Amino acid sequence: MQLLIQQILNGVAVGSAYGMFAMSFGLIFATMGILNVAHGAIATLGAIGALLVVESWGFPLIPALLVGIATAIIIGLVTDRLAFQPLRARSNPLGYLITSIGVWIVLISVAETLLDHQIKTFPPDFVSQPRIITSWVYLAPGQFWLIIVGGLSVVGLHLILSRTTIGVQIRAVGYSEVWSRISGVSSSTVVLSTVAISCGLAGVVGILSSIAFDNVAVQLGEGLLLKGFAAVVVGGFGDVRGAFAGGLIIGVTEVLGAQYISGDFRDVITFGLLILFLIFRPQGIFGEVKFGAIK
Amino acid sequence: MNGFWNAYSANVEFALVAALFSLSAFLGLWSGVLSLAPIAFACGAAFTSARIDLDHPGLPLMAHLIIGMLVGAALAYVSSLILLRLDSHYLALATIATVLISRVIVLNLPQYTGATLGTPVTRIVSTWQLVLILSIVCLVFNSLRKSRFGYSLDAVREQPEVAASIGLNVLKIRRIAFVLSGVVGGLAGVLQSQLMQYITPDAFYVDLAFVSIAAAVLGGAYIWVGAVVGAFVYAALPEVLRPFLGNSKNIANGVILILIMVFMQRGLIDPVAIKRITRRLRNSIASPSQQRTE
Amino acid sequence: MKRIRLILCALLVGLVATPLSGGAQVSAETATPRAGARCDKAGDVNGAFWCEAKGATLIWTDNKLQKGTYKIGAELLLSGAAAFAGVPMGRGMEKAVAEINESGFLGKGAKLQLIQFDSAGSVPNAITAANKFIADGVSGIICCSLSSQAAAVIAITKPAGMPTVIAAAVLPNLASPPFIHRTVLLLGGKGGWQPQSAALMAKALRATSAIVVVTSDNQGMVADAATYVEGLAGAGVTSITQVKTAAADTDLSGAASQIIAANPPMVVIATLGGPGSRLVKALVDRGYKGQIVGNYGLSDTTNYAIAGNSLAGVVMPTPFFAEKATNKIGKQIVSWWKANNAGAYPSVYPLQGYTAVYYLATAIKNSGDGKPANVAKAMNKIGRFETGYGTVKFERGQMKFAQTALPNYVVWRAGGLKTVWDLKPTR
Repeated sequence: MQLLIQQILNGVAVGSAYGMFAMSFGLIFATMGILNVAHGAIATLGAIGALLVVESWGFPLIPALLVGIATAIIIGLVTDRLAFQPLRARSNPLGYLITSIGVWIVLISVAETLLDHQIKTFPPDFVSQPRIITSWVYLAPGQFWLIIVGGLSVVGLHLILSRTTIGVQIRAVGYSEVWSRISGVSSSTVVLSTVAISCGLAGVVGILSSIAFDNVAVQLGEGLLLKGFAAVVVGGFGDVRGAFAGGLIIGVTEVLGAQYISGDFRDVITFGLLILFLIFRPQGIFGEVKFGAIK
Repeated sequence: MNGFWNAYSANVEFALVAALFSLSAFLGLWSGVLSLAPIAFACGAAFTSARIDLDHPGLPLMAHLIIGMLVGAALAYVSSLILLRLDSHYLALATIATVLISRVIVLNLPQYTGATLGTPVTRIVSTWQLVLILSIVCLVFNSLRKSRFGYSLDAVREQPEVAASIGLNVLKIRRIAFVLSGVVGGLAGVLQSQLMQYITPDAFYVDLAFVSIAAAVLGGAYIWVGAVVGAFVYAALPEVLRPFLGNSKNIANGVILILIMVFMQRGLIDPVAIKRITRRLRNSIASPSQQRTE
Repeated sequence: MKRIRLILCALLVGLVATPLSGGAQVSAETATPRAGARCDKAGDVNGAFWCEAKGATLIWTDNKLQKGTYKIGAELLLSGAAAFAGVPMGRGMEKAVAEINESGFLGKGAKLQLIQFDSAGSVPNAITAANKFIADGVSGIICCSLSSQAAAVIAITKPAGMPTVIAAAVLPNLASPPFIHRTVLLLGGKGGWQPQSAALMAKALRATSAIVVVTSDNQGMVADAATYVEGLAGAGVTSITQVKTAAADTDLSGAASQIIAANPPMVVIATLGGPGSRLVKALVDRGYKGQIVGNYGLSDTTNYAIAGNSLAGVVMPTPFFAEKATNKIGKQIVSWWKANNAGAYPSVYPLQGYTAVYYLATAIKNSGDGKPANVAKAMNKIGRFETGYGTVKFERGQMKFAQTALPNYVVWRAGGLKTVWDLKPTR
């Protein structure tokens, strides 16, 4: 019983990482209809930004986190301006995918070069608190922060989207760009805010995951991308709470599957779920059928 | 010339097969569907061919190619029953999911595929055979383009509602295109496995899928020639730019992709632009007094 | 009188011709013994003949290599998850090549050229490397850190008749003369140092249960795990469970939780270095108090960079313990590495590269013309060989210690140093 609870907690920790990434990825997809395959690379580059300041100048956690987030946001805004903005006038969804592939190739190369093609890590005890050790369960510091920040981010993001002006505008544009323009929403402000929030969140996930799993590598971002993609499908696009829930579901089933069925079965479960949902309920558990509108 | 061949023969051969992958991606686009699934079909075909080669060595190339095309077609047909029901947005995602799942299936059938270790493949195809195969496929595409089916594809792509209203069965046409993409994909998979001489679960994964569709769109998503041209340009670019950029050649590919999509969104080979240019040329060649307004 | 003068002349020639730079495994000599020179002791080493007379040793070979540049191809892991092993290996190779060229090891006017190829751990890339080297006309290939790569490369080089030296992969039974040789001391075979270290720990603990963690998608590790299980069973451990991980795993919390829940007195780690270090960290973080026995994949400073002081107390057998290197070549490697790496001790990887290059170079030298077929023939003739590990011999292409050697069991200590294991529980 204790092992079951422990494994569920492990699943919630890794699921929080998937969930946060799913929210950031899903936000862009739902609002702007862009399937951004470069999003994982943005998370990786956020982690690399933080790692660089820690390695070169010994930054502590919070400043390093801020630097990493800023890196991710800046890269996101720049690539949006250069690669996606010019396509906005035309309504060619294919174009976005191809451009995002181009961005992905560029960002991966930059990340590999910055990492010197190695797998690096943050210093071993970079985040050493808090360590939850009770007779029932154990949570490593990295896991703890993933769960806490994950919870805060889903609540925070939901509040932003439902209560603040910009949030409402983002959702309006996601629903229908034409009508929101008629109501006076400036789509360029919305785009900037969406990209900033989304990439900032991606940066947070990248840094926290690389601390929790002890590696900074391009594969980390790509892994998050694929699992986040599955989470968004399972949980549903329209609502960030759904995307986060999808991430938790995938995380927990993955860990429990590895424990009780076999270590080799991790990915079977994840992508099996993915295919089942795509066939039978493509809008996900919590999603609505309507789709992204800024083209 | 000999030195060039020694240095670049592998690149040329891989480019020839990449052209086949791009053509398979193009077939989806031709019917108005963004599909990355041909890579998954290629995966199935490649591992089947490799397995059969291990159990029955010495089969001729033609046998492997036919096996590959049949497996690809079968997988494509079965997937089309599930996937083509979906709305276009979810369809694209579902085809990505198909590629992800193909890898998981490979990993979990160790007797069939060798799982993480992979499977060795004996190479029996020669370079000129590759050229021949590509040429035949191109001829098929060319005749397809001028055929009635080709025009139906154009109609379904541009205006599916109108096509339906004039009596074209959109679903059936898309299904046929899907199965054809499986045939070409299966062919490409078998040939690719022979060039690599060893296939692992990562050999036919999302990176190959993205590159194939990117090359097809880069070259021109509105005509089959574009897929071939795109694949060659995509393969040649890093080598051409190597003296200038050294090892950051991959960045160049990404940048070129972005630039093409921003400035030439219909790709390098755009039939509409070509028509416009040839018309202008024809007009300027004809003497001024004989110029006609069209 | 004449005989003494003869010997003195030979000695003088030998002294003059001995190269000044240190580290050469063979004092390169091409003087032929004068008829009548009597040796107190004689034999063959490194494919050459040696003669000891009046306290001095002359080494010479009858083979002369033609002038020219001889190419060797090296397929390495310079990027990717195992680059922490590949990069030092490459440096060891470069050092060997530089020494060989400076000291004239190959003979007058004969130079060695090393062509490196980064396979990044992928099998198709290793195949491309092998084909490229064959097309480039190399005299021999050094390859293969991963067992999967080794199998694929051998499938190409063996039919092509290209001599191949496997420098790191540990999958059993890879060596296959005349073309495929391996310069790795295997610690994982039955009765080898690895299962022995596990058995010794089990006996010291009087353990009745143990867990073996294995990278289940790496054939070399799977084979190692099987011998561990055998060794543990032989030491009286009755309950042995295997926990499977994958080479690409980065989240080891699930495996760690499983182990903590079972709480065995000892854990044996048969994994690659990356996941292994992460597992040790995860275990220690969760308060695991039992003993941990690992392989030399955990013995590098990069492992310490990942897991820090969690590694303290982990026992590892290694073919080369730099901190206590006793033979001449080993010591030279250590001082070279320390001089270029801010005083840090090397792990086994630079020596793996260095040894492989010297082995191949010796075969090239003795081949007379550097052609692959003759290089292979010469390689097969190499019986005993001096290395930084000690004196080794080659049996059916596989490198082994020439005499039974004392195992190097080392233990990580807090602060990043390693010491010799005293065969008692350490944590």
